[in-house]
This record gives sequence, structure tokens and C-alpha cells, in this order.
Amino acid sequence: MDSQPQTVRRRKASLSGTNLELTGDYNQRLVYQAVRVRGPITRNALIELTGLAKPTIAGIVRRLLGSELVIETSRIFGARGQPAVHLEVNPEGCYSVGLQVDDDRLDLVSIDALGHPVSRGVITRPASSGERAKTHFRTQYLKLTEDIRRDRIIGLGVAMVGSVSRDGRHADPGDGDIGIDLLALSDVSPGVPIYIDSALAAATAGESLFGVGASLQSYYYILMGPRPVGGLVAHEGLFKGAHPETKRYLFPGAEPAWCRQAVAADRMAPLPACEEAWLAAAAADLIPLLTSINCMLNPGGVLLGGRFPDGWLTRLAERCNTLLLASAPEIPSHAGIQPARLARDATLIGAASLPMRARLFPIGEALLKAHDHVG
Amino acid sequence: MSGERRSSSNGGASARTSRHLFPFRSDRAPASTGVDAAAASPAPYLTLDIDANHNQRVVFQEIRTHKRVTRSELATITGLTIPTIVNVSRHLLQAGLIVEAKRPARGRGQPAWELELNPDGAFSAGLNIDRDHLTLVVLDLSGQIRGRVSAEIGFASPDDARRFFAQSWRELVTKAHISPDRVVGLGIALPDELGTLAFPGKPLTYDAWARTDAADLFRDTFAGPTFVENDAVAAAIGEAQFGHGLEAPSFVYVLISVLLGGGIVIDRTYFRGENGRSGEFGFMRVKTPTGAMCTLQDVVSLGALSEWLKIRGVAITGPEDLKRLDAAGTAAVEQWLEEASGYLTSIFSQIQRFIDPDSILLGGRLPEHLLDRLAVLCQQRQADAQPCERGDIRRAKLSSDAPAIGAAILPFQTLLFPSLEMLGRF
Repeated sequence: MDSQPQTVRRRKASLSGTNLELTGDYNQRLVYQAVRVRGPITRNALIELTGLAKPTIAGIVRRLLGSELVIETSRIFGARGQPAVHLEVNPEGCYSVGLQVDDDRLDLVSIDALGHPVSRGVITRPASSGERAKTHFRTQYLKLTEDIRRDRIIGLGVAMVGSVSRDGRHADPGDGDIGIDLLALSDVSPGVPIYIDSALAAATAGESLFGVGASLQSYYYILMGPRPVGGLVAHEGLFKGAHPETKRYLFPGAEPAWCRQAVAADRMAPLPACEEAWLAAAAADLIPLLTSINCMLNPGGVLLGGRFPDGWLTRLAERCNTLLLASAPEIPSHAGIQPARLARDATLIGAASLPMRARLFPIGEALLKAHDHVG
Repeated sequence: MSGERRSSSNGGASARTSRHLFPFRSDRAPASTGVDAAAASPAPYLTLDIDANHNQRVVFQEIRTHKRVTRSELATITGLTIPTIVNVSRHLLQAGLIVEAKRPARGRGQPAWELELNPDGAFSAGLNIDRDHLTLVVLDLSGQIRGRVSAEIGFASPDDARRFFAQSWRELVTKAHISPDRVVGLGIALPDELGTLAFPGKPLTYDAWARTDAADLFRDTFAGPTFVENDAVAAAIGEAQFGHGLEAPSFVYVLISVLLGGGIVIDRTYFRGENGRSGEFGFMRVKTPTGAMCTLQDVVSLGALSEWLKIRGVAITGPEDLKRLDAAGTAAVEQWLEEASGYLTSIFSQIQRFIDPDSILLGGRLPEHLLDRLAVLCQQRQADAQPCERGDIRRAKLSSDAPAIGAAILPFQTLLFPSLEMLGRF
């Protein structure tokens, strides 16, 4: 598995504008993630949670505070003595920019350290490729980042809805419309590392950092779309499979009609309500799949995300939970099915999460210090 | 080829004692177990005393998988400093887990000292308990089977298992010339829900297993550490450490025993699932030719095969009989394999779609030639259905005694091999 996103221009790993070297230190990433998920949290609680020694925590927290990634906040007044100081992730501590490359449009978002979108943009069908598209992108990028500290942007994440070819170009046949030369992106945002990955990898990165996945040991993620794809997130990231170059659809054969309907509904205004017939058709296809996934993987949860209208995934998850218990009571485990927190924005916020995951999240590669600066 | 050998504490007893000696204290383990343990005087065992030192495990793993390697090569491979390597390898040498040999002289200068695994440095026992048999093996540190005893006993009770182990254990170590004080532990592999799951022919008393802690069952005979694991999980872990797992970092192991189970290894790490119930392929649904739905283990398992043969007038009492079939019996088995491969392929295509492992490995109590045949049939069916993509399906390297061998690897794995269980979730 290659869980390291492809980096177009790999910089020496230090956070722009800070003297913090988070990338190389697994423990710092661990503490930062603990503050993100469990904050506001005291130093003592961090010691208990991470198992790290008191002086280690003190040193890491000092560095995190110094780099403004973490701030001291609210105090809870006990009966006596000094109130305990709590730590929280500073939303303005770092930012990230995400791009979602679809066949006919390019979505952009900037997010803060908590994963909240700061600003959004869209480029639809730029007239020509090359320089025009680059100009478009430059304008959008500047607009997107005008209200945030640009020296705190830790990376640019790109989620490819299609697959990525070797030269970094979007390899789907429709890419002539966008014509984005991903390598040229680095000219627009000099010094900002770029991480490119599949839509599924982006969606799971976002969910593991900011969503339901942050509190699950493992989960199976189903990314809805015209042709749903899925993958297991275990140990420390999405398992991309032994053959990541071949796209594996969850439903082989034709596009399921219910997927097409939901994707079409998502582009309507106002959004249509979720109908019983659609629910029944979708659940009928999903139940055998969910039964198999439970038997095979016994995951901590099954998350549904992707570009379906708001509320549809929630209804679908509820329906599947009910039906699964009724239709396959004998299987050894039933994982709860729930909508992903970043349901509709899964891929876009996920794209912006790719740099955060690569640079701040406790992943195994951070343990391989010897190889950290290669490339 | 192998040069002069520097003396090392091969016998273990000569290892110099120090406070933090890896991997074991040279003093013998106190037999501080149950009440009747003292009376039966269980054999001494090798006490490993590892304080989860990841670097030592990593270095040992590299020596184990590279066959022969110098200290400076180790430093390059592991990214550890030379002093660390020197320190760690000294401990490993003192513990007798590795030996040192001089690389044959080539060119100028002193030939380098190479480190290699000492297969006799430690031993481990593995016991497989199942509804139709009991198997005990002893492995050396290189994963070689040094002794094996197996008995086809239907629904062996906990007491039967205890007697079997007591008798077989001493016989085994004597025959294999293994000093019991070099044995680090006992691994026990048994199916989930052994006592409770409904099964044709199960005697009422068999539910005694539901009230039995297998880890405590054999203390009279073996007082060392014991490890209990699901049979398919043990098989998969064994395969990951000593079988195809060395080439295929991610694989799915399908264990065909009386029933059918499995295990999933992702990036060389066993994926256990939320409640330890991953790899339950036996419970997956397949469609029979009549259109009815049943579970995979209803139709693909040793139990299903013997039922299939019984209907066709061929009686077998155990998998050994499958090696001695007449023409009619062989034809019936081939027919079954043909049908079984159809069911398996439908499940395998799901495994490939949802997980996409490097390999799918078949193991279990079917004789090796039948597992090979089954793998070929599955490959063929897959090639017919999806000509463009062919997933790798083959017999596991550890196939027939896989659960027992895997069980024996558990003590090695827990005490000596590195593991990267991540703690990044809260």
C-alpha cells in the first residue's frame, strides 16, 4: 500500500512560517491529534491518553503552543486551587486548500485547522486549456486565501475523481475540458507542497481527521456517485489494494439506476425529497454487499459519503441498519451503518485534508525518520 | 560456504546474566502455577524477558529474513545507528537466538562477521483443537517443524485434550531431541464458538468448551506462557511470518477445516476487525444450483465434503483417507472440487472487489494436492469470468497443519517479532 500521497514538489518538511518540525515526530502528531479529537483537554489528560511521559508532553505542548497550532483556553473552576488549563486546537493555526477535479468542473475550498470551510470557489468548463486554466486557478486561489494567513497554508490537496496518470495529468477522457496541468499548480502557490490522491483516499482522509472516522479503529467507507467505490480504513489509513491502478467498482456491470437518480437529484433545485421506491432499490443492492463486508472485515462501522442529496444518505443508512439485522441475523457481527460527517463535501474537504493528514496526522511513515526527507 | 564460527552461547545456559538482558533472563522460570502444577512438576521453559523493545525486534526480524547479514548492512536496512546495532546484536548473541559466522574472504582486508539466525535458539509448541482432530507441533526458530503428533478424535473434550497433550508433549520433545528449557511458549488454535455453535453429531457434553479457558488447560504439563487464538487467525499469522506473506504483504487466508474460516493480513499486519471476527467467510451467502441460499461453509468444508462422499457411497474417517481413494472416490472428489470452486469464486470476486489483496491463499485439512487442484479450478473460473484481471489464488505454504503451526508461531510473534500496532485513534 502506498499511503503517502503523491507529492509533486516535495519540500523539506517544515511548516511554512513556523519553526515547528511536526512532520518528523510521531509523538507530536499523536498529541496534536489527541487535542483535536478530545480537546479541550488538560496536560494530565493527555499524559493518560497517549501514554507519553510528563516531560515529553510538556515539551511537545510547549512547541505546539509556540507554533500557535494549539492554544490554551477555557478554565474549569474547581472548588479550590488554580483552575486547570485546557488546550484546544487553534482553528487559525494552519490552513489547507483542496481541489476536486471532476469531469466538467473544478471545486475549490480552503479549510482551517478544524476542517471548517473558510471559502469556496468553482471553475466550470474553462474555455481552453493551458494558460487560461492556470489564470483561472490563480484568481480563484488568491480569492480563496485572501482572508487567511497565506504563510500558514500547509499544503494543496487534489482529489481526482478519475485516476491519475504518470505525468500528473487527470487521466479521464473528459480532461480536455479542464486541461489542468497539475504540475503548473505549484507555480501559483510557490512553496506549498501538493498532494494528489484518489477521491476515495481524500474522502477517507477527511473522515479520519474531522469526521466519524476519528473515533473508529477501523471502518469501511462507501463513496457514492454514479459508480460507488469503497475501501477499508484500518491501522493507519485507506488500504488501496494490491492493484490501485485498476478501478474497482462495488457494483460491477452497469451503473445502478438508483445511483444515477440520486446524482441527478443532487443537481436539481430545490432538492427533491427521498422517495420510498428509491430507498427500497438502493437498500436492495446494498444489503448483500453489507452482509459480505461484515463477514469479511468486521469493521467498526460502515460510512456512506458522497454527492447524494442531503438527507438521502441518512435515510439510506437507517434503512440498511434495519434491513441488515432482519435479513442476516446469523452473521457474527453487524457494524453500524451511518452517513459520513462530511457526506456531500466528502471529496472536496477530503482533498483539503490530504496535506493535513500527510503532515500532521500520526501515520506510520512519520516513524520512519530516516526516510523522511528523501525525494 | 559457511566460515569459521565464533562461539556463542548456543546452549543458552552460558548466557551472562545482566539486568536488562535481551531476550531472556538466564535464570530458570519459577514454576509458580496452580496447585497441582507442583505435583506434576511441569517442564522448565525458556523465559523471555522483553520490554517491548522495538529496535531489538526489528533487528532480529531483519536477521531472520535476510539469512546472513553484517552489522553495517543491518544499520543501512533498519536506519538504526551502528552502536545500537552492535548493542542489540550482542544481546541477541548472548541469548543464543543468533550466531555469528565469518564471511568468506574476498579481496583485501578482514572479512566481515555475518549474523544469522540460530534455528535451535528457541522452540515453540502449537496445538490445534478442532471438532475432528487434535494436532500438536513443535517449531524451531526458523519455522521448521521439528516434531508432530496428530490424532483423529471426534469432539475431543477438554479432558481428552489435556490427556493428549500430556502424553504427546514428552514424547515429542524426546524424539526431536529438544531441550524443554528452550521452549518459549505454547500457542493454542481453536475455532470460535467451539462449544456453542450447532454442529451435526455434536454431543451435549461438548459445550464444556464454552466453560473452559484453553489457556489454563495444559498448565500441568507446560508451565510457560500460553497464547490462545482463533484457528484461521493463527494460520494467517503463520503464513504472514513464514509463508507466502513474505512476498505478498496483503493477503486473505481461507481455511478449509471441518467448517470454513479465514483471516486477513493487510500490509503484514493481521486485521482483526472490531470484535476479532474478521475473515468469517464461512458465513457468507452463496446460491446453490437449486436457487436456494446457504452459507459457504455449508457447501465448502471438510464436513461438506465427507457428507458429499457419504451420499455417493464413499466413507472417510478423516482427511488422510482422501489420499487413498479408489477411482470412484477420486471422481466424486473431483466433482466436489468443481462445485466448490464455483462457490469459492463467487466469494473471491467479492474479496477482490471489496479488499483487493495481493493473494488469496487456500489452506486447511484437505490434502495438498486437492488444495492445489481447487486453486487451479478457481483460477480457471475467474479467468473465464473476467479475462482481463486475474487475481492470485493459490495454496498457502502452510496449508495442512496451518492452525497448529500458526499457533506455534504466536509465542514467537508476541515475544520476538516486531509489530506496528498504531495508537493514533482516540
